[in-house]
Amino acid sequence: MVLLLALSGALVWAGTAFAGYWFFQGHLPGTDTGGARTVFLGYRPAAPVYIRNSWSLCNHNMNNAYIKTDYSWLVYPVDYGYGCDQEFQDFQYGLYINYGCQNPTGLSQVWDNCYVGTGP
Amino acid sequence: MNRMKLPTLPTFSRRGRRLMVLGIAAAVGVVSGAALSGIALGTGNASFASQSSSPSTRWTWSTGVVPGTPVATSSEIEADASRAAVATSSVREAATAADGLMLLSGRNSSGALCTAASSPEVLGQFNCLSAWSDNFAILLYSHYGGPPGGLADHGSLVGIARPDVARVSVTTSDGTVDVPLNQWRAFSYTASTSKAVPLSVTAYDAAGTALDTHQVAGSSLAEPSS
Repeated sequence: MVLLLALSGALVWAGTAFAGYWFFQGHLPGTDTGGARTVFLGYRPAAPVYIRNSWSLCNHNMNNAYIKTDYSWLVYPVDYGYGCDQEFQDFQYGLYINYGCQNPTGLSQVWDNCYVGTGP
Repeated sequence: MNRMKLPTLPTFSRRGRRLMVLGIAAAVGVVSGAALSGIALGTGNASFASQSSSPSTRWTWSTGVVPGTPVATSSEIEADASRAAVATSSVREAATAADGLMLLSGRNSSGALCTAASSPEVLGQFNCLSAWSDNFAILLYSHYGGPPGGLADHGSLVGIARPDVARVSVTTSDGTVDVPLNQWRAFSYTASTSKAVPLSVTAYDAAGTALDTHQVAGSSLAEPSS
C-alpha cells in the first residue's frame, strides 16, 4: 500500500497564515474498470475550506471526497459538463476531518491538481 | 499497472470535434505544469450528443427566464454568485432533492444561464452554460456517501435537461427508474439505501434514443492506495 497522502503540504501550512495551495499536483491513478483512487489532504485545516479540483481531461468526471468526524464519507462527483476545473466550499466547518480529490472508474490515470484554501 | 486503453469516443460532427478540441486545449492550458505524457485516455464517461443546427440541441429557455422559483440566498451563495457575475436577484431554485441538495440557477452579466449545487454541507461554484455545454443533454450535480469503510448507502442528484430531452432515467444496482422533469426541465433523485444509490443517469429524446449518459457513483470511497 502506497499512501498518497500529501503530507508535505502539512509541513508548509502555517496556521493563521493559511490561505491556500495545491496540495496535490500529479498523475492520480485510477482504474479502467472498477474502483477509484483518492488523494487526501492528510490533516484538518483550522478554518473553513475551499477545495478546487482541476484536471487535464474534460471528458472524464472527477470527484471531491470528504471524510466526516465519524469517519463516514461523502463524495461529490464533478460533472464534466461543467468543465474540468471546479471548486467546492465547505458549508459546515467542523463536520469534516479530511478532504480529497478522487479519480473514479474509467481512466487509468489523470493529471490532477487539488487545491485547499480558506478562499479561492 | 493497468493496461492503457485508447479512447472510445462517439462520432462527432465537425463543430462537435472543434468544440471538443478547443475545450481540451483550454483545459490543458489552465493546468499549470501538467505533464501530459503517459496519460491514458480512458473509456470516459461522456456520450456526447452530435451537434446540429437545431435549436433543440442548445441550452435555451425563454428569453429572460431563469428556470426555477425564487429562493432565499445566504451570504455564501451571494458571494458565490458574485464571483461568477451572477446577479443575486436572479438566483432561483430549479430543483431540490429530498436530502436538501439544491440546484440553483441564475443569469450572469452576459445573459448566460448559470447553475450551482448547494447542500446543507457543501456549496459548489456557479457554472455558466457555454458552447461546451451543448455537448451534453443533461448536466448534473450529485453526491453519495457511506459509513466508515462501507459501501455507499445514500445519495442524491439534481440536474437539468436540454430542450430535446423527453425522459431521464436513473440506473441503480436494483434497476432503472425514470425521474420526472419539472416545468423548468430540472429533476432530482434521492437514494436512502445502497441499492438505490444512483450509478448513472441517461437522457432520451422523444423517440427513445439515448442522448447522453453520465456516470455518477462508485460503490465505495477508495482508500488512498495503489
